[in-house]
Amino acid sequence: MNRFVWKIMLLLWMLPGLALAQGSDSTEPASKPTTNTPSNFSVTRTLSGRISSISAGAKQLVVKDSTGKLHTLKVADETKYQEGTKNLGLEDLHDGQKVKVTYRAADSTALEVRLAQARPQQH
Amino acid sequence: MIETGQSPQVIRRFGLWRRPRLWTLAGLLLFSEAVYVAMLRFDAVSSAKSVFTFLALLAFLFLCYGAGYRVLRDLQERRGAMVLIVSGALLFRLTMLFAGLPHDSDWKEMLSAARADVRGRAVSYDRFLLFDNDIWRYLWDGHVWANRANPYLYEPSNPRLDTLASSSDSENTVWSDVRDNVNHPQVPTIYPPLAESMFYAAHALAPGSVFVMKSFFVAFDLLALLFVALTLRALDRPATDMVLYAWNPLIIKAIAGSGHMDAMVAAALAATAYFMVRGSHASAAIAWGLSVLMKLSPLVLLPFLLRRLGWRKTGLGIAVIALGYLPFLNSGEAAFAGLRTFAHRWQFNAGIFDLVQWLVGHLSADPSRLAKMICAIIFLFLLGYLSWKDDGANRSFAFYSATALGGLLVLGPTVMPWYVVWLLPLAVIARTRIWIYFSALVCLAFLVMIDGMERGGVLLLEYGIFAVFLHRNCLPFKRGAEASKCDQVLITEEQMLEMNPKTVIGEKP
Repeated sequence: MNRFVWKIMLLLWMLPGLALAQGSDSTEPASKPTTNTPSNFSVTRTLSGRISSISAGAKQLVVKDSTGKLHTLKVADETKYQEGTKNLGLEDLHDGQKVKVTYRAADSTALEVRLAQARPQQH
Repeated sequence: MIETGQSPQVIRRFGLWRRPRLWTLAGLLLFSEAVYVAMLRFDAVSSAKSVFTFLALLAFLFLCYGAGYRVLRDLQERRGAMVLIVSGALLFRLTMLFAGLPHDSDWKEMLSAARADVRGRAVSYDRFLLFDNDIWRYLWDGHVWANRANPYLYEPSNPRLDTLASSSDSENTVWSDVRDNVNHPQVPTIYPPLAESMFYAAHALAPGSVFVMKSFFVAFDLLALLFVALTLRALDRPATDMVLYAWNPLIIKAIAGSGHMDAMVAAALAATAYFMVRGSHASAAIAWGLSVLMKLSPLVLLPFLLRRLGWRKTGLGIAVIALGYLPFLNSGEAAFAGLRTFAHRWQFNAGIFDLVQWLVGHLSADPSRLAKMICAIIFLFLLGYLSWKDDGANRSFAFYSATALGGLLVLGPTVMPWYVVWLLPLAVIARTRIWIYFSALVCLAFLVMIDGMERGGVLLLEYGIFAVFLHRNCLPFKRGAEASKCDQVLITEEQMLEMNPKTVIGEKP
């Protein structure tokens, strides 16, 4: 294969970057409803423990983990509160409740607060 | 690693004091290890500062890696060098097994967290292990299979699997957490049967343990390294070239650090290349069949196998694949449901595919589909060209395989950094440096972790530099005085015999 053809291929190789460099409107790999939604590219962590305190005004939730360590998390409009399949609000949470929190690691914002479901008592 | 207490003995034995190059290599090993230790203390979160720091650490590791290879090139003292290479390979991997444990814990806490993980008492690792979280799927699939459920039929979020996540054993509460950590829980597994078997095997060793699963993959990674070393020996090449695999930071990060299963594919492909070079064609066919049972991509190597092995022996590899799928016949089409979803919907870090999609954007209502067809045609053209140029020599198998697999990777719609791991054993054996360079460039894809957005500038940088390297180093069919270094693998067996009459193809020199 002669050098000319290779140079054409080289040029083709370089074009994708140029295409995307024109802005997110030219192509839409990240904004498309693909499975790789931004949340899959966002580092999240989980934390299990009991609610130590809630401050609706300061938009803060303090959770004590099994080792006794306190973790202060922010709550935001995007925070979801759930008990099983039921959606809740911040006002439904109380001190001492067992929760599992998924939070964004970068700014400690809670994304999902899941209340542990009470197990049916065995008789 | 040279431990303080052993230093004088090691220095005497290998004559380090007389050999500054060995000292340099030892220094690079220690620098690299320091960076790997720093990665354990590094808070990998989605922010610009964190991701740039991570890339800076990786860049430093790649510099040490390149310098290490450079130092080794003219080194006469092979024995001491081999000790350092193997020590580094083991030490780096061992260190990175702890990556993903809480970064702010001290060593004692880290060890105790790892112990709890191995015993299956707690999920000690973070959901993301250095920006990757695929390992949770492997753990979950192993658990599902161990409980006689079919991972191809039931996606992790399927309510029918709820009982598997809520154990009656009060001490064993990890499965709920593992299930929560699985990414894309609405998609059934995409991994072929042998990969699933391996997840099951790791599960049998220590259910729910990230540390054990990672160690399992590291064992395959080291097996790949062994096959690379054996192949280099069989090719009469310096065994120290194995440093290109042993110390590659992407491999160490992806396998030991993040726990990707691609090490198993790398090991099977390295074994295929080794058996091919040794002339053990039946073993090569079986190893290839096993690689396809772990990821389907090595299917594209079929033309090169056929050229060398003929239909009969290649049929052996195909029989291995058929046998592997036999236990899942009852799954029917569902065995490929996850893979279909992956093929239709995933798209990431794909420079060429994005370009084609952009070019055809106004021609079709579904540019993604059209782009896939065009890229598939380009790939088939490349494969046809490679098959036409293929000289059929056993020792050139690695070169054609690396080129075909690499072509498939860069033309595909999803170019995950860890996919490059499959190529690297073949690239090291074939001296196709372009894929080694690409293993560094592809790390730029981690920039998406800042805010979940892909950037055109990043693709321009990644694929632009790749194109420059491609032009300078690996235009493999250039002839004459300008023949590239990677062309060395295209030396025919006859030429090889002329140069070294003692070398008998298919036998150890």
